[in-house]
Amino acid sequence: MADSDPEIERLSRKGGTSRDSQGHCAQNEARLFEYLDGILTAEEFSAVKAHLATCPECQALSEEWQRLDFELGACLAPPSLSPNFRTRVWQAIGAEPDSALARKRAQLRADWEADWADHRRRFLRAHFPALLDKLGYGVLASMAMYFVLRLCRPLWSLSTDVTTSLVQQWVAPLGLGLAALSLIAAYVVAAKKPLRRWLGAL
Amino acid sequence: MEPTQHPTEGLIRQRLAAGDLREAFERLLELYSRKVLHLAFSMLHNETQAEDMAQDIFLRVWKGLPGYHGGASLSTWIYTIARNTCLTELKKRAARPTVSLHEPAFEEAMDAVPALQTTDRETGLGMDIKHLVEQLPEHYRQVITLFYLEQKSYEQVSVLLGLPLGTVKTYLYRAKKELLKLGSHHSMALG
Repeated sequence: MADSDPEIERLSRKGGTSRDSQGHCAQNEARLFEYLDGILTAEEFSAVKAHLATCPECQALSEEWQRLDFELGACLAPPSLSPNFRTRVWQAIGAEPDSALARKRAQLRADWEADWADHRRRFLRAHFPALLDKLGYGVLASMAMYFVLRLCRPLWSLSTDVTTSLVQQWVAPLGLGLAALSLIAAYVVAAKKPLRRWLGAL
Repeated sequence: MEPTQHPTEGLIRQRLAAGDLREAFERLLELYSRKVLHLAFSMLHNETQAEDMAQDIFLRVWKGLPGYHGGASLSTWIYTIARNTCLTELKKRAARPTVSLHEPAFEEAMDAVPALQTTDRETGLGMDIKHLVEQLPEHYRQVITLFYLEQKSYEQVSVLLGLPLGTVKTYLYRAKKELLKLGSHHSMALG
């Protein structure tokens, strides 16, 4: 990056134009440039203006700069956008296979899936041990029921034949079922601690 | 130089924060399309190519919108994209083999086109000055073109080209001086 032109800086510091040296117009060109572009302070502007009124050489130079400015202004006309520019931009966006919206949608989906997986993991970690506890207690309760029924069996045999046969019909499968449940409960109780550790590590 | 925020820029930021990309982009097109076109024109020096480039620039802006988090000013962000897109295009062009306009075969073909057979008087000063501007070094050419497209605003040129204000003034001064020099050589050559 270039800084401000040293020539401009030097002449700006001088403050105003002077005719004391030969070819002063060439030296004060930068000052004149600033004068014509209206970037001088009011004081500096008045000084240059006063000088211009008395110096035909600088006047000629000023006219030359002004003519150049006019010609540049006339020739460098701003280009204009075609009326359908906006439509063309939207069409170009629509034709893009990997548009920002599609990418954003994919990003949202990926974020949602990651969140859901995280949520499931957290849920399992928080609630699965409690579920195991409940299962274990349920199995223990079933076993207790089974033994109660076994203890009550002699009582049923004293009642009528019909009742006894009915009770014997459903007590046997129930007993087997409860035995299976008790095995599961035993397994669950035994596996509870390692399972907790495994879930905690997830 | 950090540009002052246009009131619409605040509205665009609000739309972006609300996730309304389409509406934000519409406003953005409204606000910056002309400036982006001027910037592209100052770098490519061709109106049709500048408009195509502006379209390409806005496509990039659209792609980048979801990632814009308001770190830089919206205008600075867009002008940076615009400058980089134009520079990439210029690099591509430089790498592409081209046919010189001064090759004898090309000159013969040009002479055969009646519309191009104009005299100096018919073309006028406008044509001359354009020709002179084309001879300027690229950075002077960009600054001088943009200066006149942007209603002679140093600040706008500085913001659009991402150059310090002092540099813009210096380039402009030197460019004009160079033009006067070229003009005098040109007149001498014509006799």
